[in-house]
Amino acid sequence: MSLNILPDEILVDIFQILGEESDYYDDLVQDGSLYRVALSSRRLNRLATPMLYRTFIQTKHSTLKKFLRRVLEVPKLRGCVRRVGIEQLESRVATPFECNDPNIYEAAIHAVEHDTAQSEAWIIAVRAGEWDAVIALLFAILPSLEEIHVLAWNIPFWIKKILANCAPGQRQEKARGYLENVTTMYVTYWHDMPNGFTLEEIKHFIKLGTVKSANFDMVCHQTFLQNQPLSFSLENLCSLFFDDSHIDSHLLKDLLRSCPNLQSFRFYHCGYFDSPNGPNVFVPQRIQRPFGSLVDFEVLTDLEMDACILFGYMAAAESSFTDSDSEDDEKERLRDYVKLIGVLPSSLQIYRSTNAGM
Amino acid sequence: MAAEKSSIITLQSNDGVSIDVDRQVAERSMLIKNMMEDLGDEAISTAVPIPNVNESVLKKVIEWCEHHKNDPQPAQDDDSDSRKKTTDIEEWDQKFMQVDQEMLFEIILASNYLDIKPLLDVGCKTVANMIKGKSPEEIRKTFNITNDFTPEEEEQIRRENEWAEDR
Repeated sequence: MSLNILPDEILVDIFQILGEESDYYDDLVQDGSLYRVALSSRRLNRLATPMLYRTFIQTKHSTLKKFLRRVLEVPKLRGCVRRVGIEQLESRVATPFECNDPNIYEAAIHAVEHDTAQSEAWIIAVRAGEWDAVIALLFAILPSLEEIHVLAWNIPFWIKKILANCAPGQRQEKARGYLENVTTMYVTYWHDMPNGFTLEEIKHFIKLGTVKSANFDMVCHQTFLQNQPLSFSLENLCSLFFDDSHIDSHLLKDLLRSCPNLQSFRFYHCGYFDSPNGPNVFVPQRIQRPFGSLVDFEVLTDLEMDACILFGYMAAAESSFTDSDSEDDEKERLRDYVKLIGVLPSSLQIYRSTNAGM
Repeated sequence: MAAEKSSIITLQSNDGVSIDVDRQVAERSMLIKNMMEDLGDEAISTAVPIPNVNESVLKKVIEWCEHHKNDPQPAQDDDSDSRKKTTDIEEWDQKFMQVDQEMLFEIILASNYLDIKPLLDVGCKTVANMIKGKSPEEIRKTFNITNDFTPEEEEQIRRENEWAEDR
């Protein structure tokens, strides 16, 4: 009995399973199974190749350029790509981007960038193999991209540029056709310096009007936008997740105010008690209208926060919130939960508090 | 309604064997469930032919349906990606799928025909797990596949997809 007994649609299902195994960048590893299936026989190659190109995870700078070259040379593969994971760490040393026919990428850049001077600069940067210029070109030629994972320590020029080209209301004619279907973003700060992204940097990602789920790991406290409303509304954003982030509560409030349709908000490992405006101020019962407490998020169904933030524990008191089950602790905990009555929305279905960071 | 759910229906395999099954169990198959809804009690009084499935495979599929009879019905949305995102298989299903390759493929084909998506998923995940980590030659050997590439074609495919090789 041979695998060939199975019809095409079932084999495609199997190959899709092989290609889509994880959600988070840390787990995003293509183990090469689909590549090897595609080398097994003509039929399996025909069925596995579109699945192989659904996900590209950059593991080395060389893989990025090889992948870009391939999708430049075979345009029909571009529509297969749904998920891209990029990693800045491998990009410290740029090596020239080589392509059999440089006209291909030059034409591709001219097709998506309306400003001639910018196009020329972009071409030079791609030729030099600069990581962000190569990434920007990749994003610009993938019409069906749905999910982006970024592991980086800043958002360099060309990536900012391509994201800015697609901001709602600012999309140029030539910028139509790319980054129009991105619904999910994972942006993870990764460097030996414990800085984190600034909110200004992540703003470039969430401003893409199509994003429904934005997930950030390590965003640092910054003073931008303080006491000023954001100038845009994120009406499509349904799910917002901050992990290990130190965000001023005023800024967080500003951000949330821009997301009227939030269904899921997760904010944990985010203790930052050294700042007078640290997230310990972000206690629902202390948030004043018109921002409103979380109660105004009428479609919020899923909330996860550090208990210390939700209940306003200060650093000195943290140690009192332990797993101890003494009667006094239990009473204190009940008092804390009572505080939440009337400040969480009635739509809430799942609520979790985390003891992280204690 | 409760009485209807506990009624027995008869399935007939393609080798002519009749098997009595609790209706709730048989209705793990969307094909049978829809047929029952369309035909009503008429269908219960006559054996339902399952032309693509032989006795041993049908019994195996019924065994799975019996074990999972109280599971919630999967969403009708076939495109739900959540069902495809992992190769984790629960322990009972793993043991259930410890069969020879012929039976494994027959179960997959039967679950596809009978429209039992969770069983089809388990079958596909089992095959995916068998492929993982294998070289092209091992894949061919495991699944009895003939290499119909010329050496030049194979080399070309290797070169075209070399971005995926550096893993």
